[in-house]
Amino acid sequence: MFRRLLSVCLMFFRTDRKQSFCRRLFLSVLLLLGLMVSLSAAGRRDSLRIHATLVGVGAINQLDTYMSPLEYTGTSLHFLQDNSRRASLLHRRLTLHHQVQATFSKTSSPGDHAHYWGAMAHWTVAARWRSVVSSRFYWEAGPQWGLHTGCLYHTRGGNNLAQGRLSTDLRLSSLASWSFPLSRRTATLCFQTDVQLIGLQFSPRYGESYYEMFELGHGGFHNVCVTSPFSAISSWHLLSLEIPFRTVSWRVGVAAGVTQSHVNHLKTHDWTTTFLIGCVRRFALIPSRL
Amino acid sequence: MNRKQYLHWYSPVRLLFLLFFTVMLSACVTEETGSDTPYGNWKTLWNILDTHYCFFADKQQTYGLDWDEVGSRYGSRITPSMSSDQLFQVCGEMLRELRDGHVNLTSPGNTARYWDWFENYPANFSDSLQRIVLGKDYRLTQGLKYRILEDNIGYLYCPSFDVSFGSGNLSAVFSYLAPCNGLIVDVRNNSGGLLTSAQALAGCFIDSPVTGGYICHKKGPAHDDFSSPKPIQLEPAKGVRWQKPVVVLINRRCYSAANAFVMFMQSCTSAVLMGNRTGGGCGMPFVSELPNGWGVRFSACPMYDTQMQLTEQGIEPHIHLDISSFDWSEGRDTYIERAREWLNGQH
Repeated sequence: MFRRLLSVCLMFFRTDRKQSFCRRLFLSVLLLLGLMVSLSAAGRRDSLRIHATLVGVGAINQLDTYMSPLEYTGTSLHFLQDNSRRASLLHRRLTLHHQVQATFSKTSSPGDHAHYWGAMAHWTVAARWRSVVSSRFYWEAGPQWGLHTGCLYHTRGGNNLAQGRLSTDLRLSSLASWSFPLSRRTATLCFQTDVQLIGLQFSPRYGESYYEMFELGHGGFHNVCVTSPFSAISSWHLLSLEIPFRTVSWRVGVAAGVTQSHVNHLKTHDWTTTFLIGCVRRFALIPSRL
Repeated sequence: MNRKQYLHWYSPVRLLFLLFFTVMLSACVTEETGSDTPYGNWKTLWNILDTHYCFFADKQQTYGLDWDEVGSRYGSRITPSMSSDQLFQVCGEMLRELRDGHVNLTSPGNTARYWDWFENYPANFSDSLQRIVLGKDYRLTQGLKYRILEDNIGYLYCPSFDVSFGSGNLSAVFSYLAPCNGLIVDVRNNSGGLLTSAQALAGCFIDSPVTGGYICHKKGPAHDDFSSPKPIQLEPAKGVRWQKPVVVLINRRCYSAANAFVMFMQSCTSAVLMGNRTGGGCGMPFVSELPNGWGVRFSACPMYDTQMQLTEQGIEPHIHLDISSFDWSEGRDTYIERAREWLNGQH
């Protein structure tokens, strides 16, 4: 279905070169939606699934100049649900990756005079093309789409006491995996890195209050800002080691997150380093044949 | 994997990671702030005001304020060996140059402030005199004190807009006061609070949506980088609304949200303002902090009346009043008595 959809759309694009920009854009959106539907369907037909549930604790450094010019440091708690499956497309070289992440943080000012309380949720889906180098080493790369939301609350109070976070972005996701023997078992060392390419982010203006935006209804398109590596780099990296033990595998890892923005003359950053531990389940779905 | 395959796959990957980390390390978003030294803290304070304060143009026009000159004058007083109290005193004096009641510096033991906007004027309010009027059986809800006086004039005292008024509370208040021939709304000594509360109370005096004023904000750090002003829309209260004559009593201590309430009443209703010029304070304040943990509050979002005029210096009443010494001795509140006379003459 995916190949038919792709060929039809390409044929339509090639036949009429004088199409207007709007028509091409509309067809591009239709193609993207069709790709997403067919990829999802292709993933369901496949049987091999890998589900990992990880929890972690780490250090975080936060800056949000809307509330304070100072960098706050403290502790963060993370929950990560990581699901991936091999799709039957592209000679079974496509991996569909779905990740949900929740982060809770409490940070303090340099002199411990005030605190930030933060909560963030991240949801990402990725489709990575796999390149097998050897029986023990492969790497993957592909696009990833993410949705991120949360808030940061400042204990100093005032009319700028909190900042809402809402953004969506397109990232380049890559993963390298190396399997090696470890005490009569096969361990797997993985390194995943996701780098933001382009995105949209909600942001108040430099001195704009949430009262104006929401109570008076003065918010608008000026609160939707484009983000890119040219404004601020954002990325996420995870180095993990998976060791099988009896019926499950245990995964330990270190994650480093860099979430930054510099829009509307406001600067934010969340730099996290987290130690994660959890378990991995590998299972296959047996398609029913009635 | 042989050497050729290794180089084919590994070298570009390694180069990619090297390029990636080089870019990463050079692209950290940080904010330059002063160090936790007397000069570092003073400079951070000056910079916060320089980039966020919204009334430099108005202050320059009113009394010739030059923030760069202020910085030069006070910066020369900072020494590395000065104590915390000395630094606080110098910073507090610098902030007093702004002559803004919304500008404060807060340390663990003190709060620097500018209160000349009411300290240099008669108070024209006494809770002892008010207690004679209110008695002991006045009604009380959400901080609002109200009763019906002997001549069927309603009296409503709003001491603060810190509390959020529910539509049910306001409807119950005005339902009780509905039989009155006139209403006195007393906001003397109301130093402000929630703008939404001021809007809610003002909404009890209008019958249709109306623009009560305008507000804008800074788009960037420059002194003149503002957004275009947008209207502050007042919505009529959902419950009982007041349609009869109303007098609003004001004094120099009406500030911030109370000043905004007076602005709404002046421009959107036929209310008569009696008393003294309000204290002003039409800038919505934001907060920030210094490296040593001291907090700073400053005006960030200017508000304008319907004529696009700032009310930072206050709003003049229609009828000017002062509590006379004779009335003090007689236990009479001149403001309330004059308001009753005016309202009784309206019907």
